[in-house]
Amino acid sequence: MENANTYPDGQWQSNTILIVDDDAINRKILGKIFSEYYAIQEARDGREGIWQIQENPNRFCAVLLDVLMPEMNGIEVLHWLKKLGFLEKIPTFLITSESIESVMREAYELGVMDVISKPVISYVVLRRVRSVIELFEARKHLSAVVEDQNLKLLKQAERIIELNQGMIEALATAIEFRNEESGGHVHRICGITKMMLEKTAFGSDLDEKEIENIALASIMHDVG
Amino acid sequence: MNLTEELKKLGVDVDEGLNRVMGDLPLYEMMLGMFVDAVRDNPVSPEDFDREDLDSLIKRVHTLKGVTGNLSMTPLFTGYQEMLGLLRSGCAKEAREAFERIMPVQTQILDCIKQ
Repeated sequence: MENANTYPDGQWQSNTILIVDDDAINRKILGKIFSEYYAIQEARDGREGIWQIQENPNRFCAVLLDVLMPEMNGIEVLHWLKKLGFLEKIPTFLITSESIESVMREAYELGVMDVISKPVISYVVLRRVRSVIELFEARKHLSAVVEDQNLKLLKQAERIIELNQGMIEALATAIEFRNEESGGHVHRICGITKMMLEKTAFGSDLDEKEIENIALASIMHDVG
Repeated sequence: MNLTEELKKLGVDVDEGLNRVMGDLPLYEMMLGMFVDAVRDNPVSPEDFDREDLDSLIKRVHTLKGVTGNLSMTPLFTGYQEMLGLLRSGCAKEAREAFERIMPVQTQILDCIKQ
């Protein structure tokens, strides 16, 4: 199985689940459940898990985390992931046989997506994890599409402003030629207006963009 | 009689254990072998329950609870779960009794797998 797929627009889609558990049997079971749909990476304790995430955070679409582990337990891992800002980007799930209320509350408050009991039921853990992964991926993709659309809109807006300026200048020049006056008159008016606004108190409350717009508008003084 | 049938007779819910690994029988059988390793690596004896410091015992019992649960070894999982609760509540004597109750079936399961 490949570690990444692409969306139709060429964006990379992370497709690896990280399983963090000190018990090899647990890692094998979860790996088996998810291996049909995702690439699997394993970590034997919390410290190793954090190291793998920091190495390549964009690789993972989910983290499955045990609680009781040597070196660093699951709650400590969650604290680290929150501090590094990863919990908002990578859905993280606790897979645990412990149902201590204070542990679960702390995990949810830190931002874990779900707490799933061990021993796991394969179709339950698969559905619960996949649903959240799909939501995260959809949200990520949507953000990228919106950003892309915004950039396109900005470029179009700039183009429209350029076209407007061109039309105004063309219109004013055409009127001048119709009245047998020099085409330079329009541009002199624009230049004088801009200079007055930049160098005198008339333009003291105006920013550069506003001065540009007023100078452009002065071209229209003979229109109509 | 094959391995899975023998285990079923001993109370292991083989079907549930197989479902957990998506029906992968070779994987399930490999994990049965890992159970043997887990029991060897996390030895529990009746005398352990008489010690003052039970932390190490609690860790081993917790591990065995997890392993037997994953393999749906129901009589053992129930026993280790009970033991863990009793140990955490400070009832070491009752926990020892629970251990002694499951020892025979654990031995039979281990012998069955090793064969």
